[in-house]
Amino acid sequence: MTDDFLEPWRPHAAEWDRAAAQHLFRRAGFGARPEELELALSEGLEATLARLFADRAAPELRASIQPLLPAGELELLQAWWMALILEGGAPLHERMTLVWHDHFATSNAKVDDVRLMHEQNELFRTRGLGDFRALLKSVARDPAMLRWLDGDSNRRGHANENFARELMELFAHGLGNYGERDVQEAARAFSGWGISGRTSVFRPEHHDAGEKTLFGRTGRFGCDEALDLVLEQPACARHVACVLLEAFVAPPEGAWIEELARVIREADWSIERALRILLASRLFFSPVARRARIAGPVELLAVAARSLGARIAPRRAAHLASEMGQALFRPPSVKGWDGGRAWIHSGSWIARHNALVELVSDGATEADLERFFDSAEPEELPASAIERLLPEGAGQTFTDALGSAVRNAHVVSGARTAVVALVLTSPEFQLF
Amino acid sequence: MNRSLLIPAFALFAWLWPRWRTETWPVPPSPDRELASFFPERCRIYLEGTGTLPLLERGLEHPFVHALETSALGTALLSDLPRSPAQALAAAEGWLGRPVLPLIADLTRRGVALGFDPESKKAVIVARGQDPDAVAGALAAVFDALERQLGWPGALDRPRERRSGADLWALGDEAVVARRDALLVLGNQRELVTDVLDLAAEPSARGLTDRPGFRQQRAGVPPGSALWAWLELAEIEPHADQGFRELRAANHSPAVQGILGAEIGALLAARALSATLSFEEDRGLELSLRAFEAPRLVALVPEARPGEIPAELGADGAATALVYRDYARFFTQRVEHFPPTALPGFAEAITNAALFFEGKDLGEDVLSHLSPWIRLVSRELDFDAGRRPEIPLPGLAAVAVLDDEREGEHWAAAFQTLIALINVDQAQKGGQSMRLHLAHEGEVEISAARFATPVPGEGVDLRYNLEPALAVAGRHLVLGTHLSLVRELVRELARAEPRVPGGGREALEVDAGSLRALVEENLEFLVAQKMLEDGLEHAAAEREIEGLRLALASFAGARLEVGGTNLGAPEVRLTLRLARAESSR
Repeated sequence: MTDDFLEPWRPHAAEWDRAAAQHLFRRAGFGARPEELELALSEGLEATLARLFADRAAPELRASIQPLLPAGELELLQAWWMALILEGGAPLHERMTLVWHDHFATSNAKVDDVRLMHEQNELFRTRGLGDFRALLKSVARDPAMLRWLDGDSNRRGHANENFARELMELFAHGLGNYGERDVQEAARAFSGWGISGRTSVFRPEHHDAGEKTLFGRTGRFGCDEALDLVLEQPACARHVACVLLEAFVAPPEGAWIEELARVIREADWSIERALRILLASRLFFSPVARRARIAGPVELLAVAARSLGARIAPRRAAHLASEMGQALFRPPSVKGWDGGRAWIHSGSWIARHNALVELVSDGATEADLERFFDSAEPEELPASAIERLLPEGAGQTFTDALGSAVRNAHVVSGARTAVVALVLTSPEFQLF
Repeated sequence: MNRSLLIPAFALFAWLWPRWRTETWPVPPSPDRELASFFPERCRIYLEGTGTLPLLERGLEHPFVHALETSALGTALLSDLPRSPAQALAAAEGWLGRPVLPLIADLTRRGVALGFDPESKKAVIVARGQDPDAVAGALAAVFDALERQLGWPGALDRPRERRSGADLWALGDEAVVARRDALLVLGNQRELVTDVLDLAAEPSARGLTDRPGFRQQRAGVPPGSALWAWLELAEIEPHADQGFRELRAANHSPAVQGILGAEIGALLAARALSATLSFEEDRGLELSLRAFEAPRLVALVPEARPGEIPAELGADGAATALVYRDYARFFTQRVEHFPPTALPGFAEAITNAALFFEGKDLGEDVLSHLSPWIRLVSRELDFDAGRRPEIPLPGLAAVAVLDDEREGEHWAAAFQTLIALINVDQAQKGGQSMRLHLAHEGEVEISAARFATPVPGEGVDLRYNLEPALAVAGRHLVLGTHLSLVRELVRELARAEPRVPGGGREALEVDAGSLRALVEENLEFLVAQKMLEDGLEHAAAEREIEGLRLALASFAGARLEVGGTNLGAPEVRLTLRLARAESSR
């Protein structure tokens, strides 16, 4: 890869193929339904990107959470978000919501309030593609975050450093880019912010209004001033660049980080503008980015369901994702999900296998699969499945195994189910 | 004639005669013979139309059919259909060339029944008319219509074969129709149909009526009932799925005994079950289930232990129930009634309860002072200002009788300890605790607990439906999910005394209007929940909940009665009352 890796990718007609389009849909959204993929192939990259950035989520679905919130049931909130993901009306918005949920990982295990978790989720949805500076400041005052990282107990003379420490280490800078003194001084700057009922409040009597020295600057900093100083540090843009590269491209390399950090600053911290460049770049479509990530449970299930054009009940989907190790709104720690190879272990592999088989056998109807295969003849099923689900191709042994599954099936519908189940549960399909 | 020819000819005649005679002059089955005697014993499920003739003769004019058709649900369902029932009947008449319902009435004038063999999963229907010519004419009309539709004129003019005095026609690969005089047999397995014909040809055959308990149960069917079913559960079980087998084994489950009670538990485990469906006047529908050879846990059935019944309470509200649950014997006789796997759970409960009841044994020292008759009441609640939940639910209270008023103090102390422990647990999790307080209703002291008043504008969660309270009014112990309901009941109980039971039966009365109001009040919640539970779009989810609302609007209420029959077998009687058309919207 040469230095101009963030230059726009200008594919020849043959390069904008099923594999490229599927790569874009899987990374920037949660996969494409068969008709969406066909449309993308005919419309081209630019129009497809425009669709991914658009927000066409059904208002009724988005509003459906309101009457459910008083129930205080986390499973309903999980199901609602899963429904938005599966619907695919606002693919990049939902993708970024998940990215920020993992980044600013907050768990209902401690927050214990579904309304607050929903409010934070909406914050990520509505501001996730906007100005990162505004997002960070909103997160610092978000009631769920204040409860999660003990904002209430951060008071003058008794600073609680939880939020300040995680801000430096996980949210904005990364280890090695700040000192212990910076954490202590930032914590003093954040003091006084807590929650009353479900609302974040500033209690001046608990705020440490004294002078603080943060990143070499001294002043009577409050929350916003401290966050401005955090954002000013070069490490911050680099950290955000890392988050985006990991989420959308591949484990980041030094040069990519510097270049994307520059883009982020030049875009005045607009995540949308940075992503418009990143998702259209040569880097994004390069071989190093393709099939470079192990799919997380939520995206795996959503991509599989959407690719087949199958329906799965959102509540069931959220439950299956939890069983596979990704319970929405309950990340394991403030670090979020480890991701990558950590998604796969002996227990989770069985859960992934079972969930995908359930999706094929229960979620996808015979009509779904017949439509998916476009009425292909039985002997055409292996090639057809590989073309649609593994457009990067598959090895001969695997193709032969699919052929064998077709031959062993007694009826065409059984052959379709067997072939799709084999493809979805293959390691190749689970590399996004 | 040459004698050498005469002897073999006579022998041949003697050999052929019985067959020839049977084929030519079969003895017609007696018109009074029990219909069940035509069914082979492998039909473990049997359904008989004991009173379908009035329905067929009056058709859409039958009072119950008319009431159902004009109910909210009926109107809504029919509006989705391309034809009204009258139009559908007219269309069928056009196809058949004869009015349909009178034709079916002709075929079934002396009974109709269905048998199902759970092993082969095949079914057979036997219909018995009064006049063989009328039956033959009706069948010919159906065959003519089929021939016209399939474009095979004359294909069914002649039967394919004769068997046991009956003519047999094959329709497609599986269906077989047979007629013998006024008897018509239709099945989807030839063997099942011929078995029926063989039994019909044998005047002394008893068929299903030989099954243990069958005659006894059939004799108990009240006159005027519309349908009667017999299910030989013990014989169905080997061919049923795991869920059915678990249901059968549930009689010894503490959960089933605790929630459903000893009678229903035994009903599920019975050797056989009979069900009767009757129409009461124009608006009632009654389904009664009666068990045969039900293994009742006799120590747990009503009145096994003397105890008083809590005083009657006002009938207003969503539901009222009177149940018999001898929880004392659950604990004191746990080894006799429940499997060893359940015993650790009991031990844990006894240990935990000792924490609340001053170290006493839950079964021996606490529950034994409580009458096993419990009255349950569900009513809409009056919430205090600012505390009405966004999803309001009716409150639920249980009323029982203490053998000594002083026992009530132990219950009040246990309630307060429970709330205190819940608060400790919540505090450890950083959750919201409940404030314990005392309220008074007249002379009666009520222990109650409530969450802090919600902050205005931040929403009132489902949990505000819970404001638990406990009171001892005289010897009545009242435990409810909400203080306002407990207050209400204490006021009512102040004027009443427990009564000694005499043939008391467990009963549940549900007011469909209250349930409908509940659905209407929480419509948005139910629709949204349906969307996420089933993956439906908004409009589809809305349609499903509307269907539920209309179903509730169509009924005024339901009553479920549970009790032993005079034969000692458990019986469940469910009565549904249709709402008046004008009030069902």
